[in-house]
Amino acid sequence: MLKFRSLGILLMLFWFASCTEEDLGVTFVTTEEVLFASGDQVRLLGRVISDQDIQVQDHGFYLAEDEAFSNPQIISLGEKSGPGRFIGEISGLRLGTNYFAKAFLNLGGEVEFGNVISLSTLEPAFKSFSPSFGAPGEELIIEGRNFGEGTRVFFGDQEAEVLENTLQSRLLVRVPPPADNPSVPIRVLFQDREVSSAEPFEYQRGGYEIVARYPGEVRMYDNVFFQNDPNNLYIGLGSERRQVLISGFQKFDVISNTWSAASFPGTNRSFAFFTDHYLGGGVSQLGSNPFVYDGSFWAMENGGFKRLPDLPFLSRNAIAFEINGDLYVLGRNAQIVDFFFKFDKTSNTWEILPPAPVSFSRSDAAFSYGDKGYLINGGDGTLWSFDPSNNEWSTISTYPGALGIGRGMARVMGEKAFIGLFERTDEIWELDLNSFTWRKKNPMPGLPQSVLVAHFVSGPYLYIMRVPDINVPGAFSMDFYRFDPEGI
Amino acid sequence: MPKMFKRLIYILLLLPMACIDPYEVGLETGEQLLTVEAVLTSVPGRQEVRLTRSDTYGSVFEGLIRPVRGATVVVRDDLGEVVFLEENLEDRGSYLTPADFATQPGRTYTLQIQTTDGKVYSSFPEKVEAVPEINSVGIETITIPVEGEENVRSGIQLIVDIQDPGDENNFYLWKNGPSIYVLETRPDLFTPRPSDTNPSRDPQPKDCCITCFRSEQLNNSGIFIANDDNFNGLNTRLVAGFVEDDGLRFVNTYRVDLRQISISQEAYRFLRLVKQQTEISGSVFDPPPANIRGNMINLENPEEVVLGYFIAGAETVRRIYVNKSQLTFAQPKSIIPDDCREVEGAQLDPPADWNP
Repeated sequence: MLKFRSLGILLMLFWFASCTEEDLGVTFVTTEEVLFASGDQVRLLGRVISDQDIQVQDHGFYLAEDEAFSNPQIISLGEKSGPGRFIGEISGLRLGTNYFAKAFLNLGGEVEFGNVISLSTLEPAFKSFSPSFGAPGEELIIEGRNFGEGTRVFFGDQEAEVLENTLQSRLLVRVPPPADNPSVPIRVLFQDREVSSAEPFEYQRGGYEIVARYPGEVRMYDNVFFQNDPNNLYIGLGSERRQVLISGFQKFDVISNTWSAASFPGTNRSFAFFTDHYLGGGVSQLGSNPFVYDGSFWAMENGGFKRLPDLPFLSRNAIAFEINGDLYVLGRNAQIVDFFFKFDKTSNTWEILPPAPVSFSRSDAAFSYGDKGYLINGGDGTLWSFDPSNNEWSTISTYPGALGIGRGMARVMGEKAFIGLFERTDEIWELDLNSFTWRKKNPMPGLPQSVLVAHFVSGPYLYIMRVPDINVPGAFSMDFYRFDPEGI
Repeated sequence: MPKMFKRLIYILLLLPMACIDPYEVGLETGEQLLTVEAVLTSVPGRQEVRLTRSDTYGSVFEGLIRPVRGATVVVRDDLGEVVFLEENLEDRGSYLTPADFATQPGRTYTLQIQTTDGKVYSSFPEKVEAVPEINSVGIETITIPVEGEENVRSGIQLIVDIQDPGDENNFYLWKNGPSIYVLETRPDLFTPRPSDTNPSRDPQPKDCCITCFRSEQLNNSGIFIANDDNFNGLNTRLVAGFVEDDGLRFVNTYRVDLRQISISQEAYRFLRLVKQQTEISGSVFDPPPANIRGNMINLENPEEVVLGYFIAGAETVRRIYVNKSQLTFAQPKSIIPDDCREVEGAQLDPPADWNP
């Protein structure tokens, strides 16, 4: 009996010893880091830590503006197998607001939370934009920070289309049409915050208006134009479609917007050189076999013509400019040799100058400003300056626009030169004659494949006439445009 | 008969015990892991983030470490300011900050990477702590015995003297910056390599030049880090770098810029583990090989292993000139029998700021 009792006690002891509690393991969740916080978005990192291969029914984050999480936003990431890190992201938060976040997991219906961390959403800021100048429809980049989803951009009061928002820091927008102000601040609106540029955006300027048409059904080429005063603009000579030489001029009266004929006492001609006060050279017959040069030389004063002694050279397609009343002519003579002549208005004499470093002709563009002459090479766009005091040439800049097939406009208004409209292009650029910086103007309307007929300055406007290139078939009127460099 | 039956049962019992299942070792090899190397500091300049893909390591050729091309790499601070890095087209996989980029003490930075396959990675935020100035840099000549060789290796240790701030826990990383030294060669011993145009094997001494200034960017031989657990708030001297004597560097005068960078505690921990792994010598006291997790994470798959670390810190630089007379042991002078200008990185004129 004693044996049975001892055996029973022993078995009981074994039985107790063999009972082990079921190991439920350790599983918990932590809120590790704020990986990203912007104006309206945060990205949080959490971690499920467990010594078992658990199956979590749901996990994610709670986010609230108060530490008690009374009205939380829940980032639910769903089921998760096994322990490990997880990332949750939420957007649509309020700018510049303090939040509290904690990770959670739902294990078997029991929700556990991790530690609470605090974070703040950020404020937007405007850093810069580029380019600072442009035309409607062009793309512009705004650099800044915390531009969340739904950011709106305004140029003044005109809303721009936001094409791309890269990492909430770089907005690609399309420049909207201007309202009435060519210089406007760029404003970025996000939620209830507005940030704006310190410097205004400058719209590309240049307004065009057709003020008249050249009389008759004419397409004029290789002509002459000049003005002795701001209100009377002369266009004439040259040829009608290079088939018939045109005699005389048409004078445009800026005040009355009317045309009237003005006769020319000299020979009709094409490819003459001219300035506002002189014309000469060219060919008096069409065709090139051989060229029939005209050596007569004329001065224009108050709309009248005065014949001067004949030229000491023959030329076709030469280019001319005036400096302080003296005339400078560059080109090639009948022997196809480059020349550079100066006509002294006080002594009525011609002087041969040292040749220019490159060949210049009517295919280029020329203007004078101050005591210097300037030529834009129609081949490579180099802007040359010529100093008559020492006959020195130097390169100043390069025309940034399209050169087409050469022969462009160059007109000075105040401290700006307006250069462009090379043949078969429609670009005009403004050159600051103090800093020699370029700024693009709005392109000229009309057929881009046009060539220059004439250009003048009258008051704050340029008057420009072009005609479709000779190779463009059809009947076109020669529209006379008034160009406002500051117009939009 | 029953006896035989018993024996048969024993044999049958032994049979299953003889079956051994081979153990398959499931090592993950060949995975091309994104590797990030970036130390951005407060010294303005074009700073680099290098992205590569790891490949299988083995005793035989298995793969190449390839640069990660065409990624979008940005550094973002805790205000939301984003800096876009530009890939160096001459050194693919190297992404450079703008020239004026510099970290600011007190700010927190994250690195964000989007690869061409659309995966997005982010670093954990790295806070930039201020770095104390280096009071001075000294040197100490050391020799390193080489097993099986009579000649020893030698070089100089760079010893920094710093005043550690007492009100914060500081972690330091030192790196060798650009160096330059007076290079002496023997153009009088020049013998050209025979070629079709010059088949002669006779010496053809050159008139010039014996002395040049050679620039080089030394790879750091070792990881030099410290924390201030043992010297918090105290003035201390620490080993911060090593420059090996190759028989050329210390013939005359050597100059190096020593960079001292404040790093975060997590970056220090990472570098300490890397240092431990790289200094395993094969003894029984070595730490076991381990995969060291960095601070980069794949936003879609946080469990993806990303190697490397994004470090953002503040930096101070101290320049030191070392004259050959300061070395207590020097390697025999190496002879380059040519014009010194022919040596890569050498130029005749000293740099404008050469002021030993």
